[in-house]
Amino acid sequence: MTQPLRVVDLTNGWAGPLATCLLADFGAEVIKVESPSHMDWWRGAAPEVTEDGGRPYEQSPTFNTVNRNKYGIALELTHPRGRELFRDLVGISDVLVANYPPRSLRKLGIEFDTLKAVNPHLVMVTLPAFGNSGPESEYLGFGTTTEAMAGITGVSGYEDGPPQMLSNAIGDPVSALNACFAALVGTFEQERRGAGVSIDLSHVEGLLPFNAAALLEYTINGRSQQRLGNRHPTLAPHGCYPCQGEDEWLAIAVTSDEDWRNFCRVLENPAWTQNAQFDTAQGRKAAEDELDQYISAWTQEQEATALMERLQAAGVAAGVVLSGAGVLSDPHLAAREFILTIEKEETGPHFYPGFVPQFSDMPSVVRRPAPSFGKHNERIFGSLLGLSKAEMQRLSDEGIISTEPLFPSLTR
Amino acid sequence: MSLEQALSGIRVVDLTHYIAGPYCTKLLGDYGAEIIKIEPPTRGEGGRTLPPFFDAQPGQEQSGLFCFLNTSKQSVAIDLTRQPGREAVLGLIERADVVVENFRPGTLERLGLGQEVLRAANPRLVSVAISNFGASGPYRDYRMTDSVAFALGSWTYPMGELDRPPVQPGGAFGQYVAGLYAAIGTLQAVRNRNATQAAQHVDVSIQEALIATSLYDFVAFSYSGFVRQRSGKQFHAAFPNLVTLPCADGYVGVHAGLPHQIVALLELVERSDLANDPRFRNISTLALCAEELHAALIPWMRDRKKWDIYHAAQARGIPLSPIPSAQEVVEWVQLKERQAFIEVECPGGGTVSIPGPPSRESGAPILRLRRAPRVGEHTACVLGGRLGYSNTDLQSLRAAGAIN
Repeated sequence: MTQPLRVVDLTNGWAGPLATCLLADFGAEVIKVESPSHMDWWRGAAPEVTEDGGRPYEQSPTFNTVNRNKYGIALELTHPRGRELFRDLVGISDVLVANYPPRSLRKLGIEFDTLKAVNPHLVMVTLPAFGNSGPESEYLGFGTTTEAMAGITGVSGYEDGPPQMLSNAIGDPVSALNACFAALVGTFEQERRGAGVSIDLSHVEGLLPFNAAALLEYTINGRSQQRLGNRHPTLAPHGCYPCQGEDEWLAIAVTSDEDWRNFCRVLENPAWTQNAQFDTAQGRKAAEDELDQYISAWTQEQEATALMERLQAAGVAAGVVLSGAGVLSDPHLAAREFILTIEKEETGPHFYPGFVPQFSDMPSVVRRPAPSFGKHNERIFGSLLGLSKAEMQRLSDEGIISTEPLFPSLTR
Repeated sequence: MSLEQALSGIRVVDLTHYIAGPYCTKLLGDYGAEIIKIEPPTRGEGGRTLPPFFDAQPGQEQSGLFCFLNTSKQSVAIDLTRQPGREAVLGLIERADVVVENFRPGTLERLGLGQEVLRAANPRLVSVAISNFGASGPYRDYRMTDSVAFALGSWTYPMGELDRPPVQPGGAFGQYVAGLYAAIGTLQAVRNRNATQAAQHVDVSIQEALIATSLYDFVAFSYSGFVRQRSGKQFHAAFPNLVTLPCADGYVGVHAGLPHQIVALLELVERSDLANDPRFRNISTLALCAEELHAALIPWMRDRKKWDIYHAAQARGIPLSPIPSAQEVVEWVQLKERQAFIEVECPGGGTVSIPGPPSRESGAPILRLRRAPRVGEHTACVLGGRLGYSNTDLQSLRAAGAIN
């Protein structure tokens, strides 16, 4: 086994933590740094222990998803001794990932030029929303707004309605993947040149490829695309159709004339399908509203999963519109053992997403759940950095390290 | 020194087509890996038929998207259905570090290029496969479109109006997410291989890639039985402060996630009276006054333009964006200043403006990318240089239709 990377994770929310989670899943030793005065905002809005001793900040499903396999420490970076310990930690690590705005990092003295003095081999990845340079580099962005700035929101939504924020803020997870890739590229470059490297990743720029077709349509032909809802520019029928039960839907896409004939066979060729106009994509597209009415009347009588299976067996693309609950009962994901059960002391066992990609000869494993606040202070400050018990006690008394959030933080 | 050499020395045989696979190998190539793209002779891979097209006219070397997805690659035209073609490809694989493919599962086995054959040819090979639903399971051979991917990838259900069908996201980004995961998997496997010399197979499912990048609604369901419903223009029914709103020339997206940002937003729209109302300062009860909040914002927005609103909001520390068209993205000053779009040549002549590499070394110049190749542009050079085929060998293979 290759020497695992040691990664200092100075991130919160989604994009940064998912980036380092991907490294941790593969075996990296990731040390997540929170601060006694600021817990990761994905832990939720309540830093207090409840009357019955509960800790809501240990029970956030999203936080617990993207921080598995990491060690967690709480270190006060606004204190000079805290910053000194942070530099010591960076000094014995391979990678630093930080997703605070450039201004905040400068204020804390967390800059490549100073850190390379303590670690000339450091790979540092920063991921501000709009990049580290340019007139708007200090502007704030989140997944919902960076995806908009890449032009993705503008082409999302019903064909007759306003633009729609994406259900899952693609800006965040894509920035996570880009940051993970950048960190890995950085480790190759570091080995090649025998010196550290600082990588600047703009969320928005990393999202542009994910909207490449629409952006190129403009750079090549000067055209901006319209919203299409569930429809396709040239193919029909193409949509989300209601099925039996409450809020059950099936996405169906007829992509060729042959698909159409197969589709009609599954419907058992009712009279309305016997219209020569429907034999060609052009004819079907022109009669799209009419087709959707006929099809919806039929799908309403069908069970979504069974209909998907019948259509797919006939070679027609169809997929159940899965909710969160639906993901857990999807037989395919179950067969691939994609859904994992992970147990954390404060929550008991719950279901989580598995590993992408899946490796044949080095199966990824869950070594530990997301860290409780400051859980690994002793391990990191004591065993790794060599502080004495007395010194750790002093740091704890001064609020520089902690195993509980010390102030109500400005989170939601 | 810059990142454009970071992956140099990694040799990739690229058996991919269309989007997900080519995006993976493009990422590797743009950062310095050697990409030998194997294409069917004459017409090339299917990605050459993808819109948008130059002059809006489909045709050979007319795909703008292909020019973007295939920078930093060499094209070798080989017919994999012919024995001499397979032999040539196996020869290249013997001398490579990585093979990437995104055929339907089972295709390479049928061509006689299954896992065992590849590993026999190269016992330290990293092989990467991207497919719709992965290499196993009951949906393995299901057909997938972008709409089906978003549905089974759990992106569509929470999006749209409650009294209408759910609406899928725009574009085809599931393909790109899978390609990026595959690029990450490739580098992880190569790092591991460099230490252990052990072969590795990497399986990426587009469906799983989409679920792993969703907001984990199923984890929330596991915790609380909560199912997130569609909530129209709001990101989430509980968050009226994350919302798209109309303005004078289009729409803006508001993400005033923290209490002080909501206060700043109400002050911006000249409603300081509401900023003092405790209901608007408490995120957990904000959902109860969603309509009041939007009614306070909309009249001010209606008289102002999206970019003006954006700058005014950001000056007060409010995360807010315009919702730009493709044209407005391309012309946005922040991207221009950072040279986020770069010009590359096209295989058919002329140049095209494409998004540049996602990350860069701080302070270093933008990476220079080599243009996408013409079909078979490097066949003679690669088969001659790498495998030692003579001109006579190449001629007879060409005559037999195995290469071009």
